[in-house]
Amino acid sequence: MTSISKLLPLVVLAGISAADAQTVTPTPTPTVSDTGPVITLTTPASIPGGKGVISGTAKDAGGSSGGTGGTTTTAGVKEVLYQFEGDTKWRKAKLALPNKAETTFFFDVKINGSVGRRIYIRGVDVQLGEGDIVGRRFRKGS
Amino acid sequence: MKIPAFARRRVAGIPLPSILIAAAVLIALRSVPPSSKKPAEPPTATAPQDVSPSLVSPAGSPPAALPSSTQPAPSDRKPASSEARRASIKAAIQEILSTLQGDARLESLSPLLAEWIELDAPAAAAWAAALPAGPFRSDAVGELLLHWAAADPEKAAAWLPGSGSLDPESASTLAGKWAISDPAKAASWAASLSNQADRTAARAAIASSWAARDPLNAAAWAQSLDPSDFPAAATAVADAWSRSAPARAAAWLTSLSPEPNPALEAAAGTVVQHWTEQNPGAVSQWLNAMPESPQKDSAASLFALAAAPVAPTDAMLWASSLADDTLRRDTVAGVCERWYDAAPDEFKAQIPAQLDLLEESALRHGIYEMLYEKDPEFRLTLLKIADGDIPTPGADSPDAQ
Repeated sequence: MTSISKLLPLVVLAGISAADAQTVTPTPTPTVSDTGPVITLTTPASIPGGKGVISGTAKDAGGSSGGTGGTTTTAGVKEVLYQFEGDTKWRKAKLALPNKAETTFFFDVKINGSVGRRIYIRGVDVQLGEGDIVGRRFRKGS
Repeated sequence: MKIPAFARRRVAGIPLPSILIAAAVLIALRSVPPSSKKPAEPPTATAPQDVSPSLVSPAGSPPAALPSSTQPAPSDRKPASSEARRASIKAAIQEILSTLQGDARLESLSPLLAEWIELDAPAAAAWAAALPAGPFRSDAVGELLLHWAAADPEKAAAWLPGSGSLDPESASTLAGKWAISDPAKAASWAASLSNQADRTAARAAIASSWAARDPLNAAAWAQSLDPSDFPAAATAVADAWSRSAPARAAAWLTSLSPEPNPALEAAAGTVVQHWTEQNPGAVSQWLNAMPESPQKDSAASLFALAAAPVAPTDAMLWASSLADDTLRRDTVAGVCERWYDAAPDEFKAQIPAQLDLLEESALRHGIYEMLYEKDPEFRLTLLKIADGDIPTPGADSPDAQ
């Protein structure tokens, strides 16, 4: 399960030290052991004309939950979310195979500015486990 | 005299520090072509002491030895001038790092890095690699590689793997830029990368740059790659190709996989996206000619989403006709979101009539959920219209069509 700090990339980006970061009360940890989906971006860092589709793969190894009946493992990518640096909203990417252990995802973007924009992407699995946030700067290419 | 961009700009209303302006002017002065300058005074043995060695040699290399003569040979003048330029660049960079944040900082750094690369690429690269790990180092390395790969890609490629800065982002930046001038060499370099993620990213970037100029050869190369790298490279080819010839890109993609192939879903998505922007009627015809299948459903969903901003009512028809329940619900909600984003007033005026066409409550719920965040006030209005508490706008009007 990801730490809650992973949901605050803007704080990290702004160069604010750990001491400056706001204190967050940890939420109760589910009994499920789950690392969440692993995101791999496949779109090149340069997007011709600044307008295009960003895509990648999300793979979920599944998690195990203990119980009186033993452990069970369920793998599946529930959703992939993306956020532009500077925004607060996470948007849903389109999944080719929702709830499957491996799926491609994609969303369309428009990149302006001479240095482009950094985009953060994370996956959530069917057990609500969150994977690491992957960030990449996409630039407008020729 | 050309003043660097960062000195001309006031970022977010923050006045630039005077030292930054001074550094900018210094750089501008140093950038004036020799023919337009006054003849330089011959450097003396004491002149270089004005420049801190730590600024001249950020990578920790020892400062250049001072000339032994007070009248150095003419060939010694250029290094002295270059050192001063390097020092002024370094000072300006330090100032930027301490005063600017985010994209403004990167925008200001970019021209300085370009000049530093021209003067002393290894030192500039060492500076970027020595930054603390994190997004800013990735940004700085990316900017550096863009400039370096344009000037001397082989040296940049030789530096990157041992720099500690090699990751999919930097590999993609370098390979993509290199492939513009020499895709074969870039491909050879990418093949040498041992990490799978780095190699995949580099190959996708090469495919993209190559396909923009020579889609047939880029497509053939992508098809020759191993299965782990093929989908990313194929998607990049499809993306680049479909910007100029979407029908050909679609035909190529279909030839790769007559049956639905989840690994190529993103490739199909990008083709449909570009094709719809150029000729939505042709996409519609292409879809209508396809036999009923999950592949058609998927392509139709992509088409509906892509068409939503320009032909929302048509997009709603395509979305609501999809066979798969989940895909149909998600696509209808996605179309509505794009419609709302593109033309909120038009959306509000027309969506009540569209609701009447949606017989499934799940589809309506998807729209209400979308509006929950975007426009909660209108969501309540729409719920009342749906419940019959208030009439559909225009329904009782004698002018209603």
